Amino acid sequence: MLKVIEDDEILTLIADPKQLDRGFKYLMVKYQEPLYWHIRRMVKSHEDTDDVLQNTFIKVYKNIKRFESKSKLFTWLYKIATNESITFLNKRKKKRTESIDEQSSLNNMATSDSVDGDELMLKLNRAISILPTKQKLVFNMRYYDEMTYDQISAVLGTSVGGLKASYHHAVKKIESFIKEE
Amino acid sequence: MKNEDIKKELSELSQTLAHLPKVNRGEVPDGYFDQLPDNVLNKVTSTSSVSNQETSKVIPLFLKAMGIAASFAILLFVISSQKTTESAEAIPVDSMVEFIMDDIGELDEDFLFEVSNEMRDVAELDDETLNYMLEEEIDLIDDKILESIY
Repeated sequence: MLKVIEDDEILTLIADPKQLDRGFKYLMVKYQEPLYWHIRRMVKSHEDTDDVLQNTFIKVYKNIKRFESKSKLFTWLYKIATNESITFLNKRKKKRTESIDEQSSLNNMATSDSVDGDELMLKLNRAISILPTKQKLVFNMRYYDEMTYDQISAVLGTSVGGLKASYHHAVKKIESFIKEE
Repeated sequence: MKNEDIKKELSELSQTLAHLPKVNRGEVPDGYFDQLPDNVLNKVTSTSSVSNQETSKVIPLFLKAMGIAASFAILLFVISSQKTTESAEAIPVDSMVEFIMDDIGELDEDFLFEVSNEMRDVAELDDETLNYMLEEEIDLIDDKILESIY
């Protein structure tokens, strides 16, 4: 496993055509796990997450020459991963009915959670799964990824004020869902 | 500091959530993250080489098809030339069929089979190319989104 290096070093390697693949590998090693979980919280299954994550990295590879350092690499990668996840979810929604899909996701979670035996975590996952997509994204990025509102704003292109409102609404909805059950 | 702010905000909004452990749910196959970078790089490399192969394959087949079409055009020209030198009545249908079978027919089943296969290959590749282009169009849409967020 390669060691984790700074973004500047990664971009320097990538800028050199002879070192492109090596630099890209460093990029993947550094960001694959946070991006994996960011995607998985949206699409649920490992198989779908793997597809979306690979597509994300392929997009990144194709467009890396167009990346401008005025935005942070981390933010840029999150944008692409978010875009790919939403595209995937929209395609999946067309293929299946939302109710079947949602039920299936909940059943999957229920199965895995029953193994863990953590009732509260199951409720949390259920509550998150029924949030609107935007609120779900904001909640996940703030709660799990601990991103600042400025970072989330750079990814989603929404004002900080709007994001705070979304996050607060999401937290309140989740809390009342957990208490109601 | 950043984490503290987030924790403080959360505890003000919901004590329940603030006390829940944050764990990533779901299992990941062993060695997945060790293999992923190589898998992606292999995919990127093979995609670009397949794409290059398709491009180089389509052109010769297309040229072949053009060549075949040209061959038919020449044959038709020969037949029509024959018509201009002799009156239509002077060339019975049977003779024309015989001419085609004797002179073109010698190009024979193998040739026609090859033509058929070539044309089918071109048609198949055309679909593949079309699919490829459709996929690329999706990429272009995504690229536009990406451009807008750069």
